[in-house]
Amino acid sequence: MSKSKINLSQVDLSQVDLSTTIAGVRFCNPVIAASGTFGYGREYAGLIDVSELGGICTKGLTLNPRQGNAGQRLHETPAGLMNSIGLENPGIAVFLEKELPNLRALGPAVIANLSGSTVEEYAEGAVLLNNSSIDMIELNISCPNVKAGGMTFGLDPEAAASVVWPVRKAAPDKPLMVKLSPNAPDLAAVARACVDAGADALSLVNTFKAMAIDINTRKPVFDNTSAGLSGPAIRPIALRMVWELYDAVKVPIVGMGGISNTNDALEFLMAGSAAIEVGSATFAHPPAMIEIINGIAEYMERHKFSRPEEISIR
Amino acid sequence: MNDQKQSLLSILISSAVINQEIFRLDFIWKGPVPKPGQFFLIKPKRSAVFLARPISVALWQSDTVRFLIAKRGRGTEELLAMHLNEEVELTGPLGNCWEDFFPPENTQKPIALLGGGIGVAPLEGLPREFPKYDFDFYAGFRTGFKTDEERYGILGPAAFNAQNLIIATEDGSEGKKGRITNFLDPTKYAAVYACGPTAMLRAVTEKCKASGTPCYISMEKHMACGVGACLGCTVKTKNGNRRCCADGPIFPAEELIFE
Repeated sequence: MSKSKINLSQVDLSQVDLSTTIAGVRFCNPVIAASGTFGYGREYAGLIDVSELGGICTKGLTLNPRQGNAGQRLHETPAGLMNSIGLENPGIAVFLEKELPNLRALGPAVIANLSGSTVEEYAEGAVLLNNSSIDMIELNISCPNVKAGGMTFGLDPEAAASVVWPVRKAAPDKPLMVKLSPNAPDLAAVARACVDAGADALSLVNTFKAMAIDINTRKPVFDNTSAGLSGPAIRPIALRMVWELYDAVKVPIVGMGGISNTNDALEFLMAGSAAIEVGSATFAHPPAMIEIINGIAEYMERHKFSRPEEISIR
Repeated sequence: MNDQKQSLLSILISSAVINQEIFRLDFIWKGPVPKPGQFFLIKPKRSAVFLARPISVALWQSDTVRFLIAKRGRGTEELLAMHLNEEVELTGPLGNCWEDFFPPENTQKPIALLGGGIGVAPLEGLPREFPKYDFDFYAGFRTGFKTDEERYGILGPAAFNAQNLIIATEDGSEGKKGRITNFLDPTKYAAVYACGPTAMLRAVTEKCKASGTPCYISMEKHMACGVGACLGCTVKTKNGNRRCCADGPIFPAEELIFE
């Protein structure tokens, strides 16, 4: 064996209908690139055929540009990684002008991940997104790496509603998905508060708050002390959370957390996810999402399923 | 944006231990031809670490690519333990290249290549690929080579195809005694290309700034995606954060802010 291209399509995708609709948005398949792991879509050009993806979530966007966090931003664990990027992004206006036209042209559904420090900042950002060509907003109330805002809105039902409702009002034309934090003490209560405040869908999990210490410098690895853990290490916990969330709310759920291969993706779809997001796995193995799409198609063919929803066991 | 990159399943065809710290791996590579200064993400197919490791390409031929790697942690130890014919996932070539910063072809002065330790690796391909330019090669190490295998394994053809080869060791056991930057006179050169430990990079930046010589540095950072998507490897510059993997790994020294 000398060389084999990894992203060979093994199934004629046109034979299996993988499409799914979430909050009115059509995805050609239920596999979405997770926020913060896929840039603005063009970075992976050449490595995979980006047009085959169901959707792409942008890097977390804020009203104004952000520099992100200082110090080390990545730390590998035995089955995943911790990150402390801190929402570095060029600001929504620059995203809309410089990145969105190209991202839009790639083909997959475009989900803008919206973050902020204050309710006002979130709402102003939502207005800009409402007047753009994006397909959906993923409201990020679960980033563990910023001091103000971010995850603090996602830990408590009242705090969550206090930002979901203004964003809902500020972006009346866009489907609204709220990305939840696994660090919330009562996730079901936060989820219900989001739905009551106008969320059309929920995505979870964001990263788990975690930390590492450098035994040589005798200091925490990250300037913020803690960081967000992702990857296979969190997958069984994330799966349990998706399963439980399915019982708590009626809106569609987009599940994620360490999904690395077809088997992982099918578990999340069986647990009640309408679609799944893949993040860190793309770092470890760039063709992961393409292999998962093909794997889901093969599984559906084997089981004579005509729609991805039939995979669910809920 | 560099679109000339691929993820390919390949195999290890040759490996050699060069000394206690450094080893060499050759893989089959039938993807886009790399340029000196670019890097690959390398991960054995059977691996116990999560992320691929970013390693600068040292040399290549039509169907193979060679890496000179320093043992640093679990990821590089796993690479060292690879068997011949073992499968590996290679992603690349990634990042910018020295060529992006070449002085005009009619320049009268040579280019200085400055490598500290394993930092010689990303400079290896330059003299072979660009015979039109004259290169002097400066290589600094803590201590000297114990065998010829070590000498030729680490220095390779870049050093021996250079007009002048200047070696310095901190203990004086090989070449000149002292830090390699002490023996570099930037005024003799059209540009200085450097890679190595931060202390060396800081010193060469200062020296080149004082003499007004353009200096370009290949930086090293922990990486996750390697393609500019995750922003995990940002380098601080006077123009804000830049991505080591996609905007670099080579940056003009005058822009860098060393932490």
